[in-house]
Amino acid sequence: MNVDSTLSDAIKKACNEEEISHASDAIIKFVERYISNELPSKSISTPLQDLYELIKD
Amino acid sequence: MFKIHKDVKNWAKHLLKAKETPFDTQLDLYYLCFIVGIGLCKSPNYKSEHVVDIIPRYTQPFQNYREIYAALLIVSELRNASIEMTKELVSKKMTSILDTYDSTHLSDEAFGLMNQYAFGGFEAIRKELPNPPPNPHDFIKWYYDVMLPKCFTDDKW
Amino acid sequence: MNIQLLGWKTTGLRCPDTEIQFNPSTAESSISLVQMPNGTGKSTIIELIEAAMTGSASGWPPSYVMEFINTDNPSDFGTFELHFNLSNVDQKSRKVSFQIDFDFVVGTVTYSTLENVNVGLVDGWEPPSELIPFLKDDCVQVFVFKGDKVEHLLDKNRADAEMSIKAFFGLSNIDELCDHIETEFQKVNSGIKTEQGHSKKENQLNDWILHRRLLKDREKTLEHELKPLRSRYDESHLKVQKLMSGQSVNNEKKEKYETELNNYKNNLDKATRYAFDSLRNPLFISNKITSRLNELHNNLEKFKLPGTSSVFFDELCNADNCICDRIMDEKSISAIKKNSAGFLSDNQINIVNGIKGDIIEFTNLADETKNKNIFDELNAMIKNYNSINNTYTAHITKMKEEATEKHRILMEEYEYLVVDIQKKEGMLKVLNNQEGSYKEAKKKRPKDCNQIPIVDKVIESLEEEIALANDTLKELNAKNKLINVLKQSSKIALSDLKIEIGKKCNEKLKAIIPEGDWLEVKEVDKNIKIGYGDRTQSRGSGGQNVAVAYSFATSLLERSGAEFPLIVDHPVTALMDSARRELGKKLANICHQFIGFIIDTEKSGFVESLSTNSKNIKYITMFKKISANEIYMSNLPKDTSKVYKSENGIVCTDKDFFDNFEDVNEYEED
Repeated sequence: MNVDSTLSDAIKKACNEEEISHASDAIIKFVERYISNELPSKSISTPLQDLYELIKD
Repeated sequence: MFKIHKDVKNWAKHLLKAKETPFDTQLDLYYLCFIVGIGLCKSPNYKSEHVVDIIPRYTQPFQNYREIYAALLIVSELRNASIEMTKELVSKKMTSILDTYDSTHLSDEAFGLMNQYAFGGFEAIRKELPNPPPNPHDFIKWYYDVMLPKCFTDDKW
Repeated sequence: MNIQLLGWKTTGLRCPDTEIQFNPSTAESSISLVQMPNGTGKSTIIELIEAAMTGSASGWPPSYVMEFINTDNPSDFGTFELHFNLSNVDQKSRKVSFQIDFDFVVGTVTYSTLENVNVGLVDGWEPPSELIPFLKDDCVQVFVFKGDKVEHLLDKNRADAEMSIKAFFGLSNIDELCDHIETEFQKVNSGIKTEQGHSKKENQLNDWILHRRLLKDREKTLEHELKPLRSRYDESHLKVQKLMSGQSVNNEKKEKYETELNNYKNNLDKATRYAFDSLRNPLFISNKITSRLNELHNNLEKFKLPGTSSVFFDELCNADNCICDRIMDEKSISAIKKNSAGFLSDNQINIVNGIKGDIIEFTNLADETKNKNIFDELNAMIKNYNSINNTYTAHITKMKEEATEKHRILMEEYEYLVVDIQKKEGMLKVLNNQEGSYKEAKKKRPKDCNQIPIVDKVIESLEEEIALANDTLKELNAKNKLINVLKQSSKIALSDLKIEIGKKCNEKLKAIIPEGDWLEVKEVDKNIKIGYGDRTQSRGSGGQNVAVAYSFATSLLERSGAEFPLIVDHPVTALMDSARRELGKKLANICHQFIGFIIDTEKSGFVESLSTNSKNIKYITMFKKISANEIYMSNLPKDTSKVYKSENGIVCTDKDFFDNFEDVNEYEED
């Protein structure tokens, strides 16, 4: 299930402000998986670490 | 002067104070007592300390019938007389009852008689109905259905 | 995505065993009205629909589960099935069902779901994945509409409008996600070993993290406790309003009786006075009086009384000569005076003549029958007056009895809920208070600070210090950036969505409200703000508020792409007939499927207008099979295809039966 376009646009905008635009699609995907219950809290660790690595770059 | 039993005002306080009561003054109740008194021929020991003045004349609703009330007294007195009815007797009674100078047509003797009947009538009513209903309509219904049938019976009239 | 409710079925529960089926159409809007007398179980059914859609029944304690048992004929088990049709753009439509099975022996519920006909019923609450985001409590409450929801959306002291938007567009998930990220980060980084020099700071950080966990738990507990409290408050508020309105029905009756009583009393007073006036004439009282007075009259005639006036003899005594010409001497005068003593004076003669005349006149008028009629009539009027007075007194007594106990219990619960909710909301406010300096707080012990935002800032600061020392600063920064992006995007999205939905609301409002009615949504904030032009108003009329609420709900559903039906309890109860007619005209334009739970008093103005302006309408009447409802059963249509009977309930889909149905039972809670 896709994240609403308003939210995905807002995520892109916020990523711009934080100077991490390159990570926006990954963050959108991460949020999408979370909202549609694909990511229960227990298994959030690995995708998070991936995101941090991406953001750090 | 019409004089009423001193207990009437208290006994009938709810009837007199009821909203839209037909009893505008104590004279209205005096009259109902008088009719019972004269109907039962009751005029017991009457003491002046047991009555209070109410009014020296009839109120408007009673004015139309003042001659009839006087006649009723005359008739009652004549009935009480055990002697043969003669012209003189009738004339004498009328002279003693009627007072041409009073708007009620009643002499002092007539007032006295009427007050005695009203006194006796109240005692009879109170004996039958120690506590009257607060609604005038219930009282009038009782007066007509229960009290009046006891009056003017053959043994008395 | 289009969702259409196909119907539901109940067995072994406190509402009657019934099956309700709708005929939704993709071609045109479908409207279904479900009418039940009070006490049938309308609120139960709505609660079960919500529970089926959200999976919330799994969290019910046994005591709550047991409240659904059929107390008239208890059984060990009960079932609620909810069926709907799900259509996606790229997929065929498919039937989805949720089933809640009640075990009244142990006080538990279990779910089953039919999502795929090939797979069949599976254990658990397993909705299709595309529906999951929309089956949260805050989402379901947007389209399963209780009457008070209308007021809540406009209430400036509530945030229902904002919560609904956040729920529908995943923004409430974002808040949860940020918490998870923080928790996850702490878990990962608490395992980092440091040199001894840093242990003091680590310990300090751990203390603050533990304290924040405590505060977050407290926050979660309070929010969790507040949810059912708010629900109970809404129900209690509605019950108090219903009781008040029930009282107003009783007051209307009371006023009607009072008017009737006054009229009777006036007539009775007149009759009493008339009866007493008739007694003033003694000839009306007894025929004995009449006969005695007539006897007197006859005697007076016989004795030729009043006769000669005594004045004649007085004048004679003063004359020189008698009328026979005899000289009036002393002896004659003395004899005349003595013998004339019994003669009446002129005035007395007048009175006697008056007496004689009145006796004749009043005898002619006296009619014992007439007097009897006067008193018979008085008796009849007294009887009638007493009868109406007794009815009035009984009604007043009943009102007092009902008002006293019911009112007291309801108000006690209502006041208790208000106090409890205020207390917990106050505690939440303290927990979320951002005012204050984190630097000052950092100098003190963690337990001295009860504000989560301040604790967050202290933790952030300590993390940074430690991360610098541990060389995990980059990871800390990444985490903080991620959280900032999520929080900021949530804020931006919320703001943009509010504007968009506000515009959509206004488009729909124009189609719903009557011409000449000046109303628009000025802003969607925490609540919906309405007005027109420069004017802002806190609320509109009953009809306007309903129009705003329906516009908001359908705008939200449309915009989210998940078009659920509107299921509304008491859709028009607060509206006057004119507003009901307007809503009836426009309801088909509002949503693709509308299901309204109504009582008989809501039909006026609404149903006729609906019938005239909508094609696809289903009229359903449902009631319990009990002796009090015999009258309904005797009026059922002969066409048995329109009547569904179970052990304890009846469903009828006949329109005439629906139109003529009137609730004969006393007000009873559902």
